[in-house]
Amino acid sequence: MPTPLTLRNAVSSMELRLRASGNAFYSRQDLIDAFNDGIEELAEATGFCERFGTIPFVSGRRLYDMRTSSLRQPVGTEDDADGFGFTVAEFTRLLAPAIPPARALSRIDGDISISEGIKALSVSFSAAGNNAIGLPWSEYLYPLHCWNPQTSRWLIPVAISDLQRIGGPNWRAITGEPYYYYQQGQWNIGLFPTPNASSNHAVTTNLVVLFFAALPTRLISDMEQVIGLPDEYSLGGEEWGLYDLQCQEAEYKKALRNLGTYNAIEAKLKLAVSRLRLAQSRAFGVQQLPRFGATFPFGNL
Amino acid sequence: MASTFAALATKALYRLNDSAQKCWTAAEIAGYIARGAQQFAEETRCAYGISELRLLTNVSVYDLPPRIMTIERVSWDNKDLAPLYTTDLESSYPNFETDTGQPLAYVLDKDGFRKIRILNLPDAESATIPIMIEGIETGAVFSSPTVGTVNLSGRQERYCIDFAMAIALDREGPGQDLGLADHYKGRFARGTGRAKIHMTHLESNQTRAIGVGALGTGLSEGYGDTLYPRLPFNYVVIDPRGRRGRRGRMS
Repeated sequence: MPTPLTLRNAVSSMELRLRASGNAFYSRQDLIDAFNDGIEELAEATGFCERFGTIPFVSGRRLYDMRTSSLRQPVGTEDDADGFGFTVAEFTRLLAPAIPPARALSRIDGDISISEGIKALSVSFSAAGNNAIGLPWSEYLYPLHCWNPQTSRWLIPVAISDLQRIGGPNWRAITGEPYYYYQQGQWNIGLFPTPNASSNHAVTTNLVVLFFAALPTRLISDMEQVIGLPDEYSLGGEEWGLYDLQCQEAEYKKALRNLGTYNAIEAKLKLAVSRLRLAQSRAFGVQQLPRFGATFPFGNL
Repeated sequence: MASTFAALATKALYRLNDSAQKCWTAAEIAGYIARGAQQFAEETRCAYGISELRLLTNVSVYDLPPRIMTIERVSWDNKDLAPLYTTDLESSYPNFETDTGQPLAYVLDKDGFRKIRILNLPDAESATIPIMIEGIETGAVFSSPTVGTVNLSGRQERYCIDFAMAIALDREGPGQDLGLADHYKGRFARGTGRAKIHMTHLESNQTRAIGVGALGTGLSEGYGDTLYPRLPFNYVVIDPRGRRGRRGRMS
């Protein structure tokens, strides 16, 4: 069985490869930083790290800035101690064998309890989750899906021009339970209609669940591994780290060789992630099948 | 928390192997970082923000908030103000410079660059409510390395460091390395390209493509039909004479 790629293994390997090329120029911290940068680079390029958090409604607020504490972590997740919610991959992997996707997702607004061998899992998107620790905003990259547990629907992603057509010129003034979400700039997620405490359908204890692409946690201690990334792709972090360090030393030709290897890993991972996304989306899509006689939620506007 | 220019300059100098500032000074690098942040935000339009403009009684012309680069919406008391041209106003509303009342519109082309004129002149009551200006913001407003922060995310700050290193290595003098400078420029371009993709990601994300379907499709809006076959009895035919029937062409 191959040795898992822990931070210690990655750094030792980088040290060895740099020394073999006649270079013992960097501190251990430099190597750790370079490896972490490489993993972040991979995450940004491929979006392999997916997380979710809750956005509690603020009455009358239309835009939620992911740089501030808008994004919260749901309670009851198994790795709370690390300060993170589930990754989507963990979530779907744990739910898939026990509950068909459509049923599982239809129960997302309550508590889900399943047992998978000895593992019991309980996820709650209750309003109590608002008290959990906010995710650091610098980890947020871009939105993937948004779930409204009050209506048990996926919010529909739209552009501003769509909203002007759906809600008219004064769409910003329309309040109620959100059915759509949109992006303004990279960090602002907008909800439409705007949740408002005075509306019957939206109270301030409600929330939406945002699934988003994120940067993985930077590794600190020796035995840590990159969560959710198989080892063959974690090697990309090592290659990027070597490339970056050699760039800093103006070893340009050597650097480009590492960059070439990194690019190949990145392309492979990108493909793997896009296939995974497609599979997940099909599972999520089951919930959204059209029903006969379904009416458009804002047909009268 | 966004980083200060000085903190990012320290990182860039470390990566340039010039922490002693023999080739480049921290102030010089901080300036390059600000330029990088501005270029990044300009190319990607990733920074969106809302700025508040406090009104004064009977004052109609104000400076635009320094971070605003492109205006997307101006509102007062949560009501949209209409963007107007001076030429139109001169012909249709000659008293626009003197009439007082609640703000209804704004003009950008009369009083100079980065000036906004509010119509009507705010009266004492209206002036208590500020104007909100929403739009694309710049990546940095730079006056000195110790004042202000970069208006980008932590990951994007890295690209500003790449930009600063590219300019520094490109500069004539000790430490110049044109090949490496080009390479860091390429890294900056790679980051900008990626951010542009992220900006359009929402438009093409999978929930819309598979689970929900596209908008603009009439009654099926919001309820995608991707997983169900469309059978002949679902077809809607558009007749060129304006009648609806079942003759061949699908909607």
